[in-house]
Amino acid sequence: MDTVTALLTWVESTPLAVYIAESTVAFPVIEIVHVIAIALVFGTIAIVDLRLLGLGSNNRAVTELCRDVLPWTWTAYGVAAITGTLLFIHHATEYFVNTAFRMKMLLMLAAAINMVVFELITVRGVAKWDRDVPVAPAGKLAGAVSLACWLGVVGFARWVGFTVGVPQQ
Amino acid sequence: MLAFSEWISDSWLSLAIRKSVWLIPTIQITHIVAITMIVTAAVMIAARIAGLSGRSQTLRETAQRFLPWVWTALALLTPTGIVLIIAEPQRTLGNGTFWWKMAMLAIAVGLTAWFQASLRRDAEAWEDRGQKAGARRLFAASNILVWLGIVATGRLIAYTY
Repeated sequence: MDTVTALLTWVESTPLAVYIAESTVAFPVIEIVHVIAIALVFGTIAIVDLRLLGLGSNNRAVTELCRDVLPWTWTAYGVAAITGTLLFIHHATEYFVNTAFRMKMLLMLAAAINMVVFELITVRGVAKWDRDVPVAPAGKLAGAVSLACWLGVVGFARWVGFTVGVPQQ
Repeated sequence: MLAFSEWISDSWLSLAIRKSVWLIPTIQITHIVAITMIVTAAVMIAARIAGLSGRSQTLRETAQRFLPWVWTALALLTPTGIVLIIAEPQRTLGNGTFWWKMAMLAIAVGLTAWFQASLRRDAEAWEDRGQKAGARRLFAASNILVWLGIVATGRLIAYTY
């Protein structure tokens, strides 16, 4: 644990982290980009999840919709990850012990596991249910889990803002 | 405006909202989830117009898929936004950033309504081989910019208050 604390303290002392912490403009600007990016991550994932649940885009095949929408999700995810890291480093020790932040990371991990299971196992049989509404139960479950996880991520992300001592509220 | 803000602020309703520890966060989270729907809808429609996504769909089909998201989200954003104003009126009503946001919101709603009406009137003109290429691109770009401006000023309210 001491090593972790030492590492986080070091991260906080890097010139970039100090700059973000001291600048009045850096934090809000990075935060706005982060919010826009996560809006697109959640929104575009939701398009696929709702299709798996049979609640939208039902006229389109699952594979076609994924090809169409998921590149946007990944691009937005990249932006969210970079800006998120920048936000994290400026108060690394504080975020690390924050419960809302930990819940958010945990839910992102759950969403990632759900995605890997879907991509490696569930999708194998996709030819059989590509156009079904809703899709096979395993696909439907993946959609529900994903939607719940990402909704939680957005919720806890906002909660971090209420509980970490940053200049907002 | 200050007197009006104070009058709201002193009302029992405003006090009740502020007294609850979970109400404002919950409403803000709902507000943010609704805005994710709008940003996504605006980007998906623009991406279709630019030919970057959804090319198997006509623009009309894409609009039919995502325009309801915009109106549904606005139906969530308006009441939650009003509750946030009632809770802390001076934070918004006395804040220039908030009024910038409202001005852009008026433009965004106008643009969306115009797009929807124009598409209903002459869907063919909006398709890839239609004549409205300039209008299509101008709409897509300005629509995204205005909505992103709304998200940005929305977040900035917390810093300029």
